[in-house]
Amino acid sequence: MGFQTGGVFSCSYRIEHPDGRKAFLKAMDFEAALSDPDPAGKLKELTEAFVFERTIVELCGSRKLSRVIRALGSGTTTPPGRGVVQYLIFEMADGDVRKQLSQMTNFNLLWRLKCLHHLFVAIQQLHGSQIAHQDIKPSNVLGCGKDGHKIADLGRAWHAMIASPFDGNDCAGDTNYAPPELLYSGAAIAEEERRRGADFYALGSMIVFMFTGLRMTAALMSAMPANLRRTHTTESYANVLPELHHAFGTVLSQLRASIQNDELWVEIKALVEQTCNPDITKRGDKGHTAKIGSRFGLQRFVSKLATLCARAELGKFGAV
Amino acid sequence: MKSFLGEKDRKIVPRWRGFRASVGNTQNETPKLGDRVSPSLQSNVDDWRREGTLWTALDAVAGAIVEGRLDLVTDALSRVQVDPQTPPAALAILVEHERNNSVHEDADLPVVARCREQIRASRIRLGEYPYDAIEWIDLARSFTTLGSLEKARRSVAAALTLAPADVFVLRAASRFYIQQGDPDHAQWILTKAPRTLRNPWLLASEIAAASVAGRESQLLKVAERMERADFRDEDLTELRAALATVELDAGSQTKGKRLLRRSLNGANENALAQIQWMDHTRLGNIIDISGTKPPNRHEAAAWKAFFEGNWDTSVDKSLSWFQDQPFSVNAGIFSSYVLADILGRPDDALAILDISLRANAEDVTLLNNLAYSYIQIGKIDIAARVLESIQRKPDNLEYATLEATVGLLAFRQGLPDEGRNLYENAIKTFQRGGAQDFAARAAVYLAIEEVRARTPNSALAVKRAFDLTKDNKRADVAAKIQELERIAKAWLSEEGAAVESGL
Repeated sequence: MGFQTGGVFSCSYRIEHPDGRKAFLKAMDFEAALSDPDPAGKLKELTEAFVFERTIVELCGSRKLSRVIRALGSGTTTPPGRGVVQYLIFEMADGDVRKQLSQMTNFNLLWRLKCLHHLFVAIQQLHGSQIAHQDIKPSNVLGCGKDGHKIADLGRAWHAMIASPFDGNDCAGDTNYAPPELLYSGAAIAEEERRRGADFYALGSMIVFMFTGLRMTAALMSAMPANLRRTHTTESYANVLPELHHAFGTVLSQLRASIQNDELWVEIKALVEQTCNPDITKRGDKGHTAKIGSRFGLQRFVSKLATLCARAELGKFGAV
Repeated sequence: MKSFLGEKDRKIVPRWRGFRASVGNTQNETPKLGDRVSPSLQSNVDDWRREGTLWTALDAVAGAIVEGRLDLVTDALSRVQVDPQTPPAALAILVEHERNNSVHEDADLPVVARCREQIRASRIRLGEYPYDAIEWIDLARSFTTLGSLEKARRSVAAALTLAPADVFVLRAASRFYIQQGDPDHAQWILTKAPRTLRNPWLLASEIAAASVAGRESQLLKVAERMERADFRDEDLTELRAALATVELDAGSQTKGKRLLRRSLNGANENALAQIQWMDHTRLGNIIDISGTKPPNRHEAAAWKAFFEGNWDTSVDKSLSWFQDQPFSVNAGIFSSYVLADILGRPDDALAILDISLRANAEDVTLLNNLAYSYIQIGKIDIAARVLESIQRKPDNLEYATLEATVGLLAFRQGLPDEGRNLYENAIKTFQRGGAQDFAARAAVYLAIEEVRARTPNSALAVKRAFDLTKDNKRADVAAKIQELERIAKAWLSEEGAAVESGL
């Protein structure tokens, strides 16, 4: 079965090996590029994007990043009636977190915390390999059975040493999940800080998603007066930052209302504040700076989530 | 007698409303992204259509919120709103989204209860997240209204530390300092903010603060250039009104008139009140403002009804103005004056003064109105204590007003000679200061008291009151004259005597 996911020029398929193993195939539809007003330019862009993604997933495979969806292979094929199609094959997942959450009838705190822990580990692994994911969102967090959760879709990733066709974009990933410094104009931020800062924000946004069902960007925009939402104003990031802080305070209040346990709230609030503060300069953990030269280290967050999982498993948070 | 000062020198100081009610007036309101639907939102919508689960519905709604296109996902939104599995926080976020589409503040609660509730809520929020300058300002506003001025000052300082260049914070802070009688500081925080040179809202506030401080802004040239620059009329209206005020105060009628007319384009309620005021007091009602109807135009409507002698409307609008700006000394003075003096509702005036004096405890005019209202309901001792507590500054108009009110008190205490002397002194002080309006009104009040007390001086006092007010066109004076006529007629029919005044 084929269906389009996210990108207009790629199709995804569930495939099955004759021995019964299942996998996921992502095919680049180069033919569709021919209908683009600039077919040559589009073909070049698609080729570069495919080569980049293949390089990154191979790199992740070679580094054995356990929380990143594994690439099983890649190649080209010529389906009947079509031109050459290039593809990547990935390990099969059960579905993304939205699907898993839809199958739950009760609020399962432990499941959510474990999912977040796995996600944070995944991004830590990527950052440790000089890769920023750039497109962390619920549809890219996949459940993998007993292996827990893994991150998928590195097509919009950024690597410190490998050029990507999206390097020129401030916001390489999905703008609807983007942090405010990328939604509003005029934020002058060094590239690595911008990339890692965006990943941090997206991680915090996933925490908010787990407890509210909505991403942080939507919650922030809801809390902004209509005429200061990014769709309605040309004001710069610096000029709307106080209003974003106000909106962030509102989101924290809403989140607080959904987390009754005080101990859990203190921990979740600290995580959200440090990961998706609207002010990028306040994101991250300053304690990491001396150790790794950047405040965007994830070790402490990963440890914190592991501890929260352990405490939840022991029933320390009671009913949430 | 009642005083009614502050009428001559309205400046266009910024309004101070809660954040939610404020920003609608100061920022762009036109969507800039048009109708384009991003591939991202389309992908969210496709996922929702294909899978039809609550969590894909939530994702589609979230994407639509970010792009301002909830119209595309009405089915997903309905699912989210009715599905029992929807996280309560998602519903709260959607409610917040809807509330923020409106610029109106919740005003169901009475002022004091509302402020207390807002303080409680702000404290909780700031306890969770203290880096929110806007919440500090909202907290300061509630503290100011309730008269906790030191707490308000600290809250404003915290906001300025966190967001020293924010338009809402700077304008509210400058309003606070003007409110506290420190226009120099109000001007200073605006002058030192680099954004003031680029933002018409801040520049208008700076010019107003300078005017209140009694000096000319150093940024007038910048303002004149900005007034002609490429901004929306809505963003320039207060700047143009501020410049017009400076020009008219300096006697430049032509330029002031032109600026006032330009200010009318896209006028907000504050600019409208200023235009109406300057037009009425300086130009003689030559500008037609009837086609301009911004939201919350309570002050302008209150004054308009006041000028026309439409007292019920005037008091209704002034009460809305007071609800909107409960810390505003002018709103308090206006409401209490019309209620106590014109409409004869001193109890209602006392309720207003109870709130207004919290933020303006030392305001002489409010205290004077308080004493007057107490006199009207017969609480003479309390009125005497209020009047004794006021710091007097001889030889100014406020002092003369107070002296007249003490004269009223003396009459009601059964001491007409003392009362008459005090009124006469007040009238002389008004006349010496060129305040003929005030002198005439004091004469009317004196005549009313003379007649009420049936003193031998009644006829003379009535005649002088009519003489001094015969050219007066003010509706409030006319109302007092009518009252005097009513009282005098009753007295004449009682006495069966003729008076030279021709009644």
